[in-house]
Amino acid sequence: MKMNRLWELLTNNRFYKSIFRHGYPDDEIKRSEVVTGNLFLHIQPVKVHKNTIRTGYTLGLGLISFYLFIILTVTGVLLMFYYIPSIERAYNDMKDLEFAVSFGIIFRNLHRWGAHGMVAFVFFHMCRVFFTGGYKSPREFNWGIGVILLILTLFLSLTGYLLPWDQLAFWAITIVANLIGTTPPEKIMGASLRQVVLGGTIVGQNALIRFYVMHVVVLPLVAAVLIGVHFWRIRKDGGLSRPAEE
Amino acid sequence: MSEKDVKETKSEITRRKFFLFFGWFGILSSLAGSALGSVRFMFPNVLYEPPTTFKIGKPADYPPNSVTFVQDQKLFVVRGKDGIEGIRIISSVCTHMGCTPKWVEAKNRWECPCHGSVFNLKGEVIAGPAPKPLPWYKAVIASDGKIIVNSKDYVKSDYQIKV
Repeated sequence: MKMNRLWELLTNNRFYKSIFRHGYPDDEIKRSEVVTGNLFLHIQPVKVHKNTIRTGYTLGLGLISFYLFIILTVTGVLLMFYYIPSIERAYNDMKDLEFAVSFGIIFRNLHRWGAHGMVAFVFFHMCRVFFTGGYKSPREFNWGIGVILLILTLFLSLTGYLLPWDQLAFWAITIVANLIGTTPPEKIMGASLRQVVLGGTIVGQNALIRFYVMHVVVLPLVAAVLIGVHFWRIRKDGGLSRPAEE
Repeated sequence: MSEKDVKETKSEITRRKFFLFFGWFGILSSLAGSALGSVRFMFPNVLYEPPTTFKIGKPADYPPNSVTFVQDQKLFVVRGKDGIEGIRIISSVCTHMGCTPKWVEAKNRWECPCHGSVFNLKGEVIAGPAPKPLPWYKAVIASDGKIIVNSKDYVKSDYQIKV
């Protein structure tokens, strides 16, 4: 009885009711209001099909990719507090993160392994969608969004690769820039694409800051928006892909 | 001519159509202008990159019959190889993807570590994916006795500074 009175005290006031407009979710309507009335929950359907929760079908690969994206965002923001994208400092800042900053090595490695993992799991996710025929009508558009998200994942991976500014990064980006430079017609298209990617003619300070801005602002922003569209379309296209009724 | 006919001939360009046209024209052209400006913005006008004409020390710094790698300027100084006695300067930027080929003295050739291109003493491609030979740079002796190299000016492989 005392708990009931405490609950009453906490919930039966204007403050609580301004946040949670529905009552205690003890019937179907209020349960659905919990989902529809909450920004974060409303991405979920109010009801799910029994077969949707058979984890063996989707293997949760898309959600794993999304969780990795969250991990990468959080650890990435933490790394930004110490990393300065300057050719004099970048390599040393990366070394400091590994050897001088408390727990720095954990966050850097979480970011690194998370990035490798995301490339792998986005790929696995697409394999699953392909093999279960999940790309077929009415989900063609969402497959297209997924292809763009795969490309964004690869671009994020590539732009992050340069940031440690070590030998591996430098030569990898040298090769990528020259590869872009061979886009036909080479003298016009290739040359200007190479220039716009590097911000000059060599892999130097301009290239580093360009890759950094793409890596920490442009690409994550576009990816976040498209992930939102991707999730929204799952519901609009009839919920998670699942085995047909038996 | 009735009153109705007059109205119809006038309605070819109404006030509404006129403002709609110029309204959309204004909005779309300002958007296109901003887009073009943003693209142009991404191409820098001033680059703070290493100069393409530079000095690399005196001829005496490079012993006869040797190939010396000059890392900062991305070139090799070749002296007394391939039957040419003088000093010649060759690029150390692989023409395939821009890596640095390594001079292999035992085989008298350059080998690129990235994708396996091989260049002979003339700078010509003898193996691997490189599409063009390594370029030889024009170089002269400056008034202070140092070698001055122009990495934008390509010469033939027998161009040399007589020592």
